[in-house]
Amino acid sequence: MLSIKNLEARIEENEILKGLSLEIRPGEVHAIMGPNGSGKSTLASVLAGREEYVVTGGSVDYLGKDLLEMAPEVRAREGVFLAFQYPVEIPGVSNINFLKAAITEIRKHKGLPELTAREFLNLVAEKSALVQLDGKLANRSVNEGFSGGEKKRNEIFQMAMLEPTLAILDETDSGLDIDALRIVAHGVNTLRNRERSFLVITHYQRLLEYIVPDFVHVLYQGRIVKSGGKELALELEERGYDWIKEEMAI
Amino acid sequence: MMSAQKTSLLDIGKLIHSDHSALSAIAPDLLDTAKDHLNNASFPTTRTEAWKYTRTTRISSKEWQLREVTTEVDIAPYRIENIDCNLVVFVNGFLRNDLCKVERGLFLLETFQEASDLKSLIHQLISDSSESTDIFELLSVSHCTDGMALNVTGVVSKPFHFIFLQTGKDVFACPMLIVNCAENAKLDLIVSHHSSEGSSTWFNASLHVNLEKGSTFNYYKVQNDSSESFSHIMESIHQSDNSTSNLVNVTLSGGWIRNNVDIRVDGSGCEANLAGCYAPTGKEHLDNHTVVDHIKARSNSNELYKGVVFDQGRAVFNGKVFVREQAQKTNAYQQNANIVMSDDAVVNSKPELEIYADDVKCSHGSTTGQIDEEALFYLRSRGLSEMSARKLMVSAFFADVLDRIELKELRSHVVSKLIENGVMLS
Repeated sequence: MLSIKNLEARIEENEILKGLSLEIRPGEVHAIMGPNGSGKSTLASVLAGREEYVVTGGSVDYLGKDLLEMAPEVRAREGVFLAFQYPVEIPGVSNINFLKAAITEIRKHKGLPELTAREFLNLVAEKSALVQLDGKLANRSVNEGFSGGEKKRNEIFQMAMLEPTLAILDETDSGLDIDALRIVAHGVNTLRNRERSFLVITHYQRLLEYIVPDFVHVLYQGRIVKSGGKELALELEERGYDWIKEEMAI
Repeated sequence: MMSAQKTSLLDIGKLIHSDHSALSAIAPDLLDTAKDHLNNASFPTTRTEAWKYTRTTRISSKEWQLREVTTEVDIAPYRIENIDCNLVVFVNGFLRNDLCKVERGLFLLETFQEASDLKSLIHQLISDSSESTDIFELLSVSHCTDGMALNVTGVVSKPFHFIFLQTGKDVFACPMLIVNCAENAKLDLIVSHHSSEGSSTWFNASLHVNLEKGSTFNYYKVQNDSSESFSHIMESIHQSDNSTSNLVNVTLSGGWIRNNVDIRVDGSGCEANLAGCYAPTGKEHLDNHTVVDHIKARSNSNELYKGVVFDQGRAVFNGKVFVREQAQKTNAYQQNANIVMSDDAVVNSKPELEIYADDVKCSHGSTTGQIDEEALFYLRSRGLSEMSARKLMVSAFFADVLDRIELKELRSHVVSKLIENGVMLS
C-alpha cells in the first residue's frame, strides 16, 4: 500500500530524513519510535504534504501512485489521514460544517453522490459516540477551547468520519491522560480492518499497549535503524534509546 | 488635478448637465442656500484628511447627465426571495411609481414633489446639508433627482425595500430618502443598490433619519454595483432617548464606493449598532467612513466592520467615535478587521476615539492580516481544496457581521450572493 524508498527531506537548511525506507501492506499497523529530533514528525508532515518540507530524494508510492506529486487535499481524498500532534484551533469554522464540506469534496473526488443531511448526521452521531466526543463539541468551532484530550479525540472522530485507507497518528498520545488514551485507542482499534493501515508515531511505548502494532521501527538520525515485532517496543521502554545509538556508533 | 480648485455653479453646470432639483417646489430656500455654498465648495483631494486614500478626480473630470427611464424595467433580479415587504423602486434616481408596491400601514409615505404633511420634516432633516462644506452633500440638495419622506408612527411589521437601480452611460443619479420614526415606532428598512452590467454611473444618494424616543430603526444596505460605477452614500441618523439603531452594510461589489455614516447619539439609553462587511475584488475601491457621536450620558454603541480584500482591491476604513463631556457612562466599542488575500491588495484602516468624559468604557481596535496558513493546511489535509478552505475561513470571518441581519430572508439572500461571488463557501 505504502512504499517509501530512500526518502530524503529537509526543512530550511536542515536535512532531517536521510534515506528512510518503509513498506506498509494493507491492514498492518506500524509503529515508529525514536528519540527526539530523529525525524518522526517530519515523516508525518512529508506524507501529509506540508509545503515547508522539501523532499530532496527518494520516492513514496501509495497504492501505485506517486504520493509526493499530490496536493495535500488530493492525498486526503485518496485516503491518507494525518492526526495532528498539535490540532489547529480555527475560530468560527464549525467542526460539523467543515467535515460536511470535506466529505462532500472527498465523495465528489471518488464519484460518489453527496450524503443527505440525515445520512451525515447519523454518521456524526455514530462516530462521535466512538470517541465519546460530546455532541456539543462536534458542533463547536474546530478545536476552539478544546482541552488537550478533546482535541485528540476530535482528531480520531474526524478520522472515523473520513474512513481513510492510511491513517498516520503523529504523537497522538502526547498530552493525554490514561482515560483519554484508552478512549483514543479504542477509537483506533475499532477502525482497524483488513484494508486499513496505520502508521503510529510515538515517543513512548505506553500507547502501543493499547494500540498493538504488527511492526515496530526505530527512527534515528533520519533513517530506520531497527525493525521488529511489538516486543521491540518493550525493549526500548526498558533500555531506552541509548543502546541503539551505541549500536549505530559501532 | 492636484490642487483643490474651487468650483462655481458654472463648473457644476459643466459637470452635471442639469439644474433639476426635486426640492425646488417644497424647499426653494434650502436649494438657494445649497447653491450659494456650492460656489465655494470644491472636490476634495487626497490632502484632505478624510479623503486621504480616496481620489475623486475620476468623478470631477467627467461629464454627467440625468436620464429618467420611463420604459419597462424588469426588477425581478433585484428583489429578495421569499420576503414579504413594501417595495419602492428608483431607476437612475427617479421614483418609478409603477413599480412600487406599498400597502397601508402605520406610516405616511410622500414623494418630495407632492409632500404636504411631511414638508417641515424634510426641511428639518436637510437644512444642515444645505449649509455643508462637502460638495457631495451640497449636490444631494441642489441636484436631488427625486426623493421620498417616510414618517413611521407605530410598529411597522412589514419591512420596506428600496431598490435603487442605475443604468446607462455617464448617468448622474441623486435620490434622497427622509425617515422619521415617531415615539416607540419601529421600522425595518432594506436598501439595495444595483448598477446594470456595463453601465457607468455616479450615484450620490443620501438618507436622513430621525429617531424619536424609544423608536427602533433596523437598516440594511446591500451594495451591488458595477465596476464602472461611482457611489457616494451618505447616511445620517439622529437618535433621541432610548432609541435603537441597527445598521448592517454589505458591499458585494462596486468600482468606487464611499460610504459616510454619521450617527448622533443625542439621547440617554440609546443603542447604536453598526456593522459592515466587504470583499473588494479586481480594482474595486471601497471606503467606509463612520462617525458615532455620543452627546448624552448612558448610551451604548457597538461597531464592527470586516473585510476581505482580493486582487488589487483596496479597502479604507475610518471610524471615529466621539464621547462628549456630558456623555458619562458611555460604552463604545469599535472594531475593524481585514484579511488581505493577495500581495497587491491594500487596506488602510484608521480607528479613532476622542473622549472628553472621564467615566466611560471605550475600546477600539484594528487588525489586518492574512489567512492563517496552519489552519489552511489543517483544512486541506481533510480533503478541502485550498479554495474551499479559504472560502470556509472567510465564511467564518464574516459570520458575526452577517448574524446581525435579523431578517432571515435577507440574510440568506446576502449569503447566497457572497457564495455566488466566490467569497464564501456554501
